[in-house]
Amino acid sequence: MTKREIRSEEPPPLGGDWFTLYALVVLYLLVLIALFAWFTQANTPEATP
Amino acid sequence: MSAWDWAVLASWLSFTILYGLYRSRGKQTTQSYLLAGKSMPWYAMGLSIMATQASAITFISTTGQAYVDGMRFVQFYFGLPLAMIILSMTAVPLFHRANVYTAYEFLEQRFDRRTRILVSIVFLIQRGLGAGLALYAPAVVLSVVLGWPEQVTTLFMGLLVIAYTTLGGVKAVTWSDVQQMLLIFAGLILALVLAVVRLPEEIGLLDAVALAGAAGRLNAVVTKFDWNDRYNLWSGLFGGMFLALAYFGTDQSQVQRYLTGRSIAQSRLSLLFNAMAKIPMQFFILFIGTMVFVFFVFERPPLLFQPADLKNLEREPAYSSVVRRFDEAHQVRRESARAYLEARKRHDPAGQTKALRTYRQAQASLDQARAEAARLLGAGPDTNYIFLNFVIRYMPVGVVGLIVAVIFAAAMSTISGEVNSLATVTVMDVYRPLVKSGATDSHYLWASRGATIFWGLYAVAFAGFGGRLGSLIEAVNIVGSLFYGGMLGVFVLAFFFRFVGAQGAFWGVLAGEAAIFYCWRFTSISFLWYNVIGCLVVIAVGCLLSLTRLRRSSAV
Repeated sequence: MTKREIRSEEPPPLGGDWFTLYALVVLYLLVLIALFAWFTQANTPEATP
Repeated sequence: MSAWDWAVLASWLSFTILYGLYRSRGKQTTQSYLLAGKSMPWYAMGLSIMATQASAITFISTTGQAYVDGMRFVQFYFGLPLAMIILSMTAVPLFHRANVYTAYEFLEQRFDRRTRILVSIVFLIQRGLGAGLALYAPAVVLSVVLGWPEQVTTLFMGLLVIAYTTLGGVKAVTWSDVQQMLLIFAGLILALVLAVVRLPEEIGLLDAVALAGAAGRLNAVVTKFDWNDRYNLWSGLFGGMFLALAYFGTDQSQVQRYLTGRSIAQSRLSLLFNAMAKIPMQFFILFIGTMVFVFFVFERPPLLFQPADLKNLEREPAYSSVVRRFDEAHQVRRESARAYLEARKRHDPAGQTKALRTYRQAQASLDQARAEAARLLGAGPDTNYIFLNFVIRYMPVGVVGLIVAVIFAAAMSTISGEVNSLATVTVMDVYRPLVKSGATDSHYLWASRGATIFWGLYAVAFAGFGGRLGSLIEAVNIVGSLFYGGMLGVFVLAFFFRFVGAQGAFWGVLAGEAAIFYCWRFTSISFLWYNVIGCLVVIAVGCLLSLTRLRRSSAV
């Protein structure tokens, strides 16, 4: 599907357009991975001082 | 279980089945039975997609996985949101516009009937196996809770699902899934709260997190790349994305959920809802498993969580020596855990390091004793029994019934979706084109009901093998990965490679499956990569064959 075809379709029921929504989902995934990486780092202590 | 637990469980089972049937009332046609008359809103499809994917296995096996291996399993889902976006842009509009009952019907429109039937058969084999495994998991629950044989409980569960799926069709399945998913969310929150509340009084949530982390159980992200390591960031992002693309884009049990949408936009939103909700949910379930781990740092865990294995072990001559080492290691782990927390509170790095070393050594000794106990019996992993053991022994009256109901809800939502999709593919992709074309709508409706009963009984029969497959969540994903790469490859060819014809697609699928089975039998490559390898082989072979044919025909 071309970008134009997607833009011409029914917009998301919650407003905005599909590409913005997809970008938000990718951003959300990156934030989750960053949070989990921090969570791992912060809670896995080394046995050596 | 107490009478209250039974009352909670029975009420839930009756309510969910009756509610599903109530929502599917009215005159049925084949389209309303298999596609809900394309009337579903996004939130119902989204919850149904999640419920179909979140089986009882997710509940009982994922928590156990976190107990023994930590949280790194969550990375398996990192590729899912990317897959949901790709499918929203490609598969959803194409399937909707093609106005198909199944994803494989689309393959006939794009290639030929032979490819459609080949891929349908691959789906029937792998999803049939998956349905059996999904049914086996709650049988494990009941066999632990009631002491019933697993075969009896498998049959009981199977008949319940067959009843409402056969009578109500996809509408009953979807609306029951909505209720079941809401109960699952509630049950998850309750399980976590109670796991933390049951810790010793002086141990707070932050202390519990510190102890889980000190034992290496909070390893949610592993950045080191290794082909043979099942769960790391890269296998999750790439392998997981391919697996999710295959599962949600080519597996009829998922495709059928969003084909019921009233529009392309509604179907897309249902997938994006899943993209947002799935990772936090899995993280939450794994976190419950780590809290159960911390609970058993202070409370003596059983040497083996499988009750029957433990009983058999007690008769072994070496039992007393293994259990003595286990008890000693547990005591050392408990004391060093307290010492570690106290050193943290005093801000004493030397004390922390010392306690941490002892804590980890004790953990290794405990793991060794458990492994030796399992070796003595020749028993498989007891991962699937850990959470159940905790629920039954330490949860209050009523809550046990509720958690068991959650496990049932998860199982029933998965099996009903799978049986419903297996029946749809059997009738629409095999029976109608090959056995009886041009019959009346009512004939196909009854054929669909018959196929639903057949696949329900097939799942019951296959569930008998579930106990031999180790961690069920992994078994399900491995079985899926053996077939999904080939299925995904052919749909990628259909969507993106317009020059590829029927010959290329057909032989491409066979070559892709051969490559996957070779990797499985003769290499140590982690199963998540099978999807990538299989898909790429299908694309390569499909393109090569089609290009060769094009060159030949242009030369002529």
